[in-house]
Amino acid sequence: MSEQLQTPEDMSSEELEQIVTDFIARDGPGPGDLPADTFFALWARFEAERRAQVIELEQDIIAGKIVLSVAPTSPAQVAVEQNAIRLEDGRRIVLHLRRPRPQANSASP
Amino acid sequence: MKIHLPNNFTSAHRAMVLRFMQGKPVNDNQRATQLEAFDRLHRATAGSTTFADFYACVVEEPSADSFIAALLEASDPETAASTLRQKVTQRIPARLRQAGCDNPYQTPEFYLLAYCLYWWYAFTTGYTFEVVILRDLTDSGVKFLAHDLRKRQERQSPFDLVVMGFTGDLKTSTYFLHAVRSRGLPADFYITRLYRRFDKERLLVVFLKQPVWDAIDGEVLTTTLAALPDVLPAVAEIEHDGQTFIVVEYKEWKTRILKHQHRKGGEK
Repeated sequence: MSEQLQTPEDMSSEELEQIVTDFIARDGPGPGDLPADTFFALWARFEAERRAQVIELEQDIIAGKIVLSVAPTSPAQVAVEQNAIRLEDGRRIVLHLRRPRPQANSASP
Repeated sequence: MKIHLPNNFTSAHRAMVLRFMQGKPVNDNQRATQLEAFDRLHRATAGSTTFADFYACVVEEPSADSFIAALLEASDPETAASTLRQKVTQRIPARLRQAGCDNPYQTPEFYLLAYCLYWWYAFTTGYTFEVVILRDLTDSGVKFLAHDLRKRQERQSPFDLVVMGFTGDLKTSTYFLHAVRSRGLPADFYITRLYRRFDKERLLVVFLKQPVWDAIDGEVLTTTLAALPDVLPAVAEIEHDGQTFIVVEYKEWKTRILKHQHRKGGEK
């Protein structure tokens, strides 16, 4: 296996402990700054991936009310509570069941 | 403690977790996989708890308030942060053991330890950056409203500060990208820090949505995300996936804000 594909599973417990000891001694990964070219390239890539994501919700009707949940197949996380979906900016989308209405008269314009 | 990793946590993700811990350099594709790996681990479980909840309970909650209080007291937060952070970092393996993870140096438990270390560094570098910028804005005379970093509930507010009625977020560039992946960019402006590859010089930049720029506007140069590293420090406009962002150096942004606030009599 090439070094690039080495995983923690390939290493002994002693080796992993040494890696953690070294990580702590050098104060981890640094300040979290990226090179500008990497940053902009990954931003474009992640934004495109995020916009391509589909968030799937499932709906139950319990005691006459909508109860939403995130489908287990959905890769994206979204805050769902009862019949409400919380958006990233704090606003909520709330779904209500429409009460049955009398059938429209087919002769009406 | 039984660890369960998500099905979509592949050997490529595992390799990138290891490289992060080893401090080995990564190319752009590998970095994307690395960021994805630590996001996917949110949904891994340790016993009946997700990694995200485990980290919050065992690492962040017991240490966050004292870390931030000490950071706010420090005369030089960036220098102080390293020592303050390491006091906690050194105890993380022991805390995992106390919480029932008997040997964090074997797999798959190692992933829980790596996850806790990764997000503790995210937390500490992120708030260090925030404290530095908020202090600089205060010292520069910029009027703003900010959440109280000492209070956990306020730290979890969706935005870090408000300037001229616009919401803003302060993020290191790594965690800016985590936000792009998970939440998108709901704030009106973002302040982040990059560096130029050729001379390693740090760049503080502000990304503004169009309405914020309209309030303080000037000349812009239309460009693309990919071309931006060559355009900075000029003020640039990028059209990206239906959103317009203005990119401006932090000092230039501050100068424009101060001018505007001076005209408006200190509007926050």
